[in-house]
Amino acid sequence: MGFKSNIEKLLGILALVAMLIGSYVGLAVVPADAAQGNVQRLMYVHVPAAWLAFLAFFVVFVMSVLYLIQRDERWDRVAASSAEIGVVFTVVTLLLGMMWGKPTWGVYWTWDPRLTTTAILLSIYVGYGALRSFADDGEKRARWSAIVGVIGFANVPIVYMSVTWWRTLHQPPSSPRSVAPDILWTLMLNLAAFTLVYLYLMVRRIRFAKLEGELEKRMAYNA
Amino acid sequence: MRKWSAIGVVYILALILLWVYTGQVGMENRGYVFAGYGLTWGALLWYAFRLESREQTTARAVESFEVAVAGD
Repeated sequence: MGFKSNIEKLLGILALVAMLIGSYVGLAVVPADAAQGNVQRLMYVHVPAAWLAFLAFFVVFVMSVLYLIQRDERWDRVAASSAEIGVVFTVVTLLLGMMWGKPTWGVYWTWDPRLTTTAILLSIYVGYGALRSFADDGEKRARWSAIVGVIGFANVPIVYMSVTWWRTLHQPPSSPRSVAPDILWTLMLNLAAFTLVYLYLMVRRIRFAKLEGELEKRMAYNA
Repeated sequence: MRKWSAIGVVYILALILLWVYTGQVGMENRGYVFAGYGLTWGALLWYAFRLESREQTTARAVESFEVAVAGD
């Protein structure tokens, strides 16, 4: 077994253990919120999922810029991998928001600025994925995707700032000064766990992207 | 695939445990908390499973090309 494979396994085990500890602490250790009660426990998975989606799309942005400058297909592979994982985290964020929204706001969904901009964010990166599957030529696909990856990222700061710029149902961003220490460290613990999950999935997704590239080259050679 | 069947069974057992736990402590809105945590774990495990299965399918396809080239 190679060094890379061992690192990947270790990362997977670390991610799993961290997620188990994070969920246990979020569900059973930290006390319920004084105002919202137990439903606030969803914050420990909703907020990290949203942050990781932002991080994933930031990685898409950086890798897309690097691709446009250097035209190296490795950057394209990393961008495509991160975009796909970012979509998974965004879907989880939206669904968790709905689970939290129903008991606190009375509705699963409302066209609130934070929710609407997040839905747009999801559409952009689903579109990014669709674009990749439509384009046959590898170079063109990478170039077009990189352009979408750069332009699409403009929506991330809009999503983040939406609760500050507009009147919204969604609560403003939490900061260390606005939340109790118990809530803060539980949130940080879950954020670390989600980050490990992201890194583990990235390692695996990039390896798969490499394999896909290899298959595409062989198919083109045999055509 | 046997690994993923085992993971699926553990996941379902964990969901049952979570439902029982939230009931025993009398958690209000337990359905939303249960659905939220269940969905998070379910989505991440499903994605990891899909990734592995896509990788295996692609690896087999690459291998079949190698066999075809060697046979020519």
